[in-house]
Amino acid sequence: MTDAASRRSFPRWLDIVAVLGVAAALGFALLTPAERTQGTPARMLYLHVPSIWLAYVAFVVTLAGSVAYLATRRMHWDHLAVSSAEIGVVFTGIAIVDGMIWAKPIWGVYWTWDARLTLTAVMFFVYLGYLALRRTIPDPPARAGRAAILGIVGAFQIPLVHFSVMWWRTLHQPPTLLRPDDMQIDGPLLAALWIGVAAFTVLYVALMRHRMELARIELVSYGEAIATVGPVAGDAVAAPEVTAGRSGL
Amino acid sequence: MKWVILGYTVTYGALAGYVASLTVRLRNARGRLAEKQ
Repeated sequence: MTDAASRRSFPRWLDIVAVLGVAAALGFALLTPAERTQGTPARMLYLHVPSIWLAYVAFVVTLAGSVAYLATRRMHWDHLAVSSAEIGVVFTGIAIVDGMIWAKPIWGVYWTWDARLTLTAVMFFVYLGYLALRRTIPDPPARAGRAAILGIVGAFQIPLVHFSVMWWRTLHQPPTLLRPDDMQIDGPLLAALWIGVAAFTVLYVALMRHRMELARIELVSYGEAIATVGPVAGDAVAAPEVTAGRSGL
Repeated sequence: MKWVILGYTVTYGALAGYVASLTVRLRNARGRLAEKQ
């Protein structure tokens, strides 16, 4: 197989592995023994934790892409940042919604203004704002520069969200992953959780490949549109000519 | 069990929706680029 053919077939294989991984994660999540205190609703753990893990990863990649863009001004880094932010917003939304579905049978309410829940919602809307900001600026370099600043500022929320359950008294349980002490979870449940995290991470990589290709094509299309029709905005607007003696003043 | 079924349906439905949306956007972008070239 040539290098080019290998590069073309890699995403296809990655897609297949991602789909199989997500299916396997579903199987393990439903077949693992029920948790002792919460029972069946605790199976939401295998969705909720991988989703918010992916959101963290995605927004850290957005931070890295934003910093790299500002340092190099290469559009490739902007593609990385926007692709990761979009996927991060999807996974944050999923984490919030499946967290609400988990909360109802355990806490008795879908939502409470708890520090973790509120900060996660704020993070979701900040990155939604990042995507909205990008839609208001047509010029790619200007858009990339301004979005990069928000991509860097927004990343400060990640530790805030993650450690909120340790810094403030909250209803939400302490973190399952990335905690300072040992994880308090039994082997079979932990295995199902890691399979979920691994499957969602492979899915993230597969989605990133496609989303970055879309960003590249959109940039090329924009460049060709400008080359064909010229600058879109501002061409039709010319400063009025002021003739001496006819200004009416 | 109904909460688990609801949670998994919503999550996998959202993921499938995003994948479908990305696939359509990518196909349309490739098509537009091919037309221009």
